[in-house]
Amino acid sequence: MPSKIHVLGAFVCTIIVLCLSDLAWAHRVNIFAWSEASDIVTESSFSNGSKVRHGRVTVYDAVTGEKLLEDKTNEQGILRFPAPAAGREHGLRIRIDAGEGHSNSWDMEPEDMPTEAPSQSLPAKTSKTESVSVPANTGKDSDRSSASSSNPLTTGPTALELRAIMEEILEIRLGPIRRELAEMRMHRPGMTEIVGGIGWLLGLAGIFLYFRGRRR
Amino acid sequence: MHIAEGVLSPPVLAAGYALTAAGTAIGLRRLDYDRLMTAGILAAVFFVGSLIHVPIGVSNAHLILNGLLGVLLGWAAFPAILSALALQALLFQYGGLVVLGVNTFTMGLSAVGAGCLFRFLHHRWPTPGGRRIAAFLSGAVGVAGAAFLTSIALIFSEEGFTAAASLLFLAHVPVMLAEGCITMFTVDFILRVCPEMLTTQQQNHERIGHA
Repeated sequence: MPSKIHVLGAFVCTIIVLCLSDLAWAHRVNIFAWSEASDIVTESSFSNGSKVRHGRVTVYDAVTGEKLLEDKTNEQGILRFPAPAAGREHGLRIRIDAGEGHSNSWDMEPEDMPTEAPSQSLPAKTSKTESVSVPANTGKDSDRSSASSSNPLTTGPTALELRAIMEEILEIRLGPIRRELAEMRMHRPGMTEIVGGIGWLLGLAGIFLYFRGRRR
Repeated sequence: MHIAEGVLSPPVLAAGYALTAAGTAIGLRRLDYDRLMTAGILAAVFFVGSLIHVPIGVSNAHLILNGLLGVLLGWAAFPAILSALALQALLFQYGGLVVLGVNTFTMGLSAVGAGCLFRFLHHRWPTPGGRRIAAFLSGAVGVAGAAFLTSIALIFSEEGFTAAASLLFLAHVPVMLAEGCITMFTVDFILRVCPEMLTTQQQNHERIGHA
């Protein structure tokens, strides 16, 4: 009898240790994307949290399926690329291929795409330069603002320039929030799914038992 | 070991479904009334097993437990794995319904192989020590066989066989050891508590015939 308890104890311990070690999400690869200024940023990770290093990311037009660009992720699983003009109307399908049959895709709706910064205004160009601090642009724009300062009514940046600067700052500030929103859109299995799945399997077995029992 | 959707070509997917259908048909025919609930419970174990990670070294991989199902269920592991994988695809988005055939076949056939290996070794060395070794080996062989069959399925993808096989094998060595231990403890425990669970259907029929 002691040996029986011994074996049972060892078995239960093994299962508990394995469960406690890391009850995480199985090896599925995830990709999500968000826009930052005029760029699209993608982040890819395995479901256990490790990043996809040098995974191949391919960007397609969501409707026509035309391949727009292909590149590899960096060490942090991140790939940043300028939003392709071709996909602006239809949205994009961004696909990650991490090898060993791991792949997944993320659909980017047209409304999630980076807005073509106010095209009627020249200073919109400034927002195209990625993560450049605001003072750097003022040097570039100084000649224009000096030209506008000839107007006696305005001193300092014009309304258009101010708008461009504001938009640029907003884009930088909104980037992390967009990333978080995109991450939240990813589906993760929770307790509901796990318990529900077990219930389904036992229920199916029960239904089979019922019908076989009736046939007997 | 779940191949994702969009990796394999249609002929491979179709072949996977055809082979899975054959395996499931054999499994359902061999699944008798008394073992139906066991199959259901083991399907639930398989379903949850994929959420348990084995963290060793830089990589970590999840349990598969197909060797254990093969030892305890034989061919009936096929319908159990099919239903568990279908629910994983629907609820967790692991794999997918399109690749369900291929995934079931890779894990199911290796489960059946592991079960055959266990019965062969157990028949040869019916001592407790021999039984433990047989259970350990069949647990490990279940994972190795799944890695091998998955690599075969990936032959026709861009990655190719050798690259996929070497990566899958290396990543799953810790899982093989873990599953070997789990299968060994479980089989040992079941043989002490409920030995009739391990007899095959044929033996059951023989026993009923003799009685």
